[in-house]
Amino acid sequence: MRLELRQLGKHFVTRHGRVDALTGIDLTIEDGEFFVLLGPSGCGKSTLLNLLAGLERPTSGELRFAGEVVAAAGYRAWRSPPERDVAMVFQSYALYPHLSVYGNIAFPLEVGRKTSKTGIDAAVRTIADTLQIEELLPARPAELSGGQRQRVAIARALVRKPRLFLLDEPLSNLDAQLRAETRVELKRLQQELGVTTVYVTHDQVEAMTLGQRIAVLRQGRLEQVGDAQELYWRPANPFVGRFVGAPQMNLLKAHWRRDGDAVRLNLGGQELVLTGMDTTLFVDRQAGPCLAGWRPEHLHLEAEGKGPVLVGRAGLSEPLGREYLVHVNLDGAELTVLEDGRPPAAGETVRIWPEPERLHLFALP
Amino acid sequence: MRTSALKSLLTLGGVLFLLLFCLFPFGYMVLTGLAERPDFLRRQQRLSFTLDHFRDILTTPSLHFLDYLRNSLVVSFVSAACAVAIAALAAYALTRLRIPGKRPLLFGILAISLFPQVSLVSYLFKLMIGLGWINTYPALIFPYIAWTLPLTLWILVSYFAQIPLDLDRAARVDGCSLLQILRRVILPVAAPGIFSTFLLAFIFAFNEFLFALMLTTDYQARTIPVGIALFQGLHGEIPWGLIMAASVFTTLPVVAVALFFQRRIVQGLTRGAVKG
Amino acid sequence: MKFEREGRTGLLFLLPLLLTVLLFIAVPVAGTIYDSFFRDVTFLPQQFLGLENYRVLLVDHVFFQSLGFTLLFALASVPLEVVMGLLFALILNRPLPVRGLLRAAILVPWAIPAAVSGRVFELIYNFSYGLANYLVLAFGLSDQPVNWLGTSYGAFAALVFADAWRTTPFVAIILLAGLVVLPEDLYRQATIDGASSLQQFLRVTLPLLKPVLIVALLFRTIDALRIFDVIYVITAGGPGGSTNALSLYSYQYFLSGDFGYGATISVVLFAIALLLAILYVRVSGFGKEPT
Repeated sequence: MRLELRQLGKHFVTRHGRVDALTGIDLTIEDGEFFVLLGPSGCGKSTLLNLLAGLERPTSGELRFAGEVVAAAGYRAWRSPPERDVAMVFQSYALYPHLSVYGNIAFPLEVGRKTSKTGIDAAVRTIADTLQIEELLPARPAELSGGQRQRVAIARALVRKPRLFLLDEPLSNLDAQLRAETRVELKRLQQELGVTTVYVTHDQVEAMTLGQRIAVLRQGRLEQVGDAQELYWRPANPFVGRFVGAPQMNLLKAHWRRDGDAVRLNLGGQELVLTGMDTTLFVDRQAGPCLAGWRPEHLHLEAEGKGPVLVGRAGLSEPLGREYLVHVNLDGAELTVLEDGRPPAAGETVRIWPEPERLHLFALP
Repeated sequence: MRTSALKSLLTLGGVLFLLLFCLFPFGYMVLTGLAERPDFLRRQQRLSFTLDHFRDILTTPSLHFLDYLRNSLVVSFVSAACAVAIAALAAYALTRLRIPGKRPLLFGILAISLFPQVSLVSYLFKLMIGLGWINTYPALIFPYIAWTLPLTLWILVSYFAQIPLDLDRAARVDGCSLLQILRRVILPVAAPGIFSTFLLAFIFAFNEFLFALMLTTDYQARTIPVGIALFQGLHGEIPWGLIMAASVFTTLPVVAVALFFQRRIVQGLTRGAVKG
Repeated sequence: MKFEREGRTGLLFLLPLLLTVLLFIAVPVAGTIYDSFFRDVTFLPQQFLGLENYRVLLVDHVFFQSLGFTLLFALASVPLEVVMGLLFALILNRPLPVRGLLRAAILVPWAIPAAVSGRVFELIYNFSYGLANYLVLAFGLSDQPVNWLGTSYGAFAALVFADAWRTTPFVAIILLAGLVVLPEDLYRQATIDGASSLQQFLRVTLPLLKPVLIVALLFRTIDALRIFDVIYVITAGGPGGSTNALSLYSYQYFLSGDFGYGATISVVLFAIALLLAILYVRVSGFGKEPT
């Protein structure tokens, strides 16, 4: 089912004044797509999910499911959650503690739907089999582990074959290993079922591995929408640049100046002359202040003969297993470099070669 | 080592004091009920036991003890059940639905629980006379429901507030209407709390005195507290043996309930008492 | 303003509560206040008196005697209950094997109807053969039996103790609730810092318990001021009207059919209780809403 969000917004009026949770959200989510909403806490992603589910009403804009308006500002149209045929998995799983696993999964089928008793039984057992929780059917939620509860929550959501599947940070309560395993399973399950899925997370690794497309949100606004590759290689602004990709992208205040078809980049006293850069960014300007961004993996300490270098003083080196994250002090600014050789000693003078094609230039915010 | 021994001794002393303090009147009550004469503590009296008082109080129709007991049980049960039902609906609305003026309402209810009964009873009396309900069950049931509502509301609000809102959201997405959420999710999950609240409301209604004193006139609707308070006996001497026997019958079930459900009752009272 | 469906349903759910409370509490209170402005005695025609009843009240020395007793009673019994309640709460807070038994025991005074325990105390304070005098003579505290219920001082003491017996459990439970939420870590830290048990009690427990103590004190004071059951049963206001609490005094007028003046007295009591109730509501804080 295709979702269309047109200028969707939600604000709250509280004792402390007006809070804009979401502003001007324009999105189209295709049928069967695995769409991820990514952002830090408080960015409005859960509010957006609640709007999709019908748990909240929008205060501006409109929302369409398969072309039909299900919610719009001003109470013009409204489809309540049961009418929308949506399913949701909450961060806390929200399993009914007084019902068994079977009871939990059967619940949506029993409430106000006209499925027969045998029909319900078949549906429950089928989905339990798909999620490999058949043996857990008689148990109570309190007896289950976190991972098991999560499967039950997913089973309950999918048992009625909804046309929209919403997940609110479902993996955040699991330990790292379980999280990685479940991620893969979720992706496989979604591909198998083909249901339109909207997934909310603050973890960019989850977002990148799961989402066919990702929307990055900050303080209620869309920062960028694209697939993992786009977000990584072509972040639209410093926020996306730093939020996506680990370790975090380095951002330095700089001043650029055109010099023929080369660019002179002045970083706090040191100057780099870079050639072969995509100058379309600069349009028709000749110079200006900017934020220069390089990901740590695109900075190298093996600088011999590679090109223009930056000189700095090495600080701490954090071992990451295969590599080291080396902190370098560059006339007061801090850089991190991902290095897989032997790390420099603290205090040592180092030379860093930045890959010119991997420079991200952003206007100052 | 000496301090820990001292502490243990103090604790033991405290425990004994607590038990003695709380239970001595009850013990005295039982003894007097069993004793042939109430003045058994007098130096010159022998202590002799008899079950006559217990038998008499149950079998003498003119004493109306069983009538009082029946009245008390019916009135308390009905008003407690109704109060809990009304309070559950209200508590659900107050903890989960967006309603204007929630806080002033809760405060108002809280303040109401502190009104002196005597400031209501005269008008209630006139009201009941006007309705022709004096000395009938409704005369007690309706005021009792209203009088126990503040307590039951506060306790249920604190129980409901602890149920995560995600459960409501999940049920909503699963297709429930608001009433269905209450019936299928909130009530079952809060069932133990509701039970405790019912017990407390029952005890509260059972022990009520002033309303019953003024709104009933004879055994047809009179409750046990009033019956026992007014029990003066026919001759000069107060029939303490009978009174204590009646008291034992009255308090034994309550004490039994307290014993079985002490954890629940304390929990409920705690929530009702520590507001916020 | 258009109400969202949720808001409307919410008000619907509140309706039974609001109706019941309005009809059987708010209206009677209003009615009583109204009555206080009238001469309302059975068999006599009703007559609007304005503030006349209140003027009479101001020179009614029986009223002031009653007011004095009520205030003194509260002053005497509340601290007693709070101190004993604190003691019991401390004991209940310890992980003892007999905890269940203790909790059940502490519920007994509260669970028994006040009228019933009142009669038991009436017997206890019996001059000739009651338990109180038996103990007094047995322990040699006096060589004469005490006339508990026949003297005003004796009756006062008897009532204070009887009421304290009945209500200490409730205070104990409130204070226990406050004790239970105190974090264990604080005491471990205090032990490491070298504080003795007594010091921990004085410097950690008591200060942290202060808000709960204040709430308990206020609540019990309001309760003590409106006392009725116990006094009615044990002394009926005697001897000679010396233990006539305000609610009892008011009731006596109702009994004799004078609803107007009785209402006046109960309005005064109501006003005092309301003032303290507002204070109590402020102090006990705001109810938390679920996240």
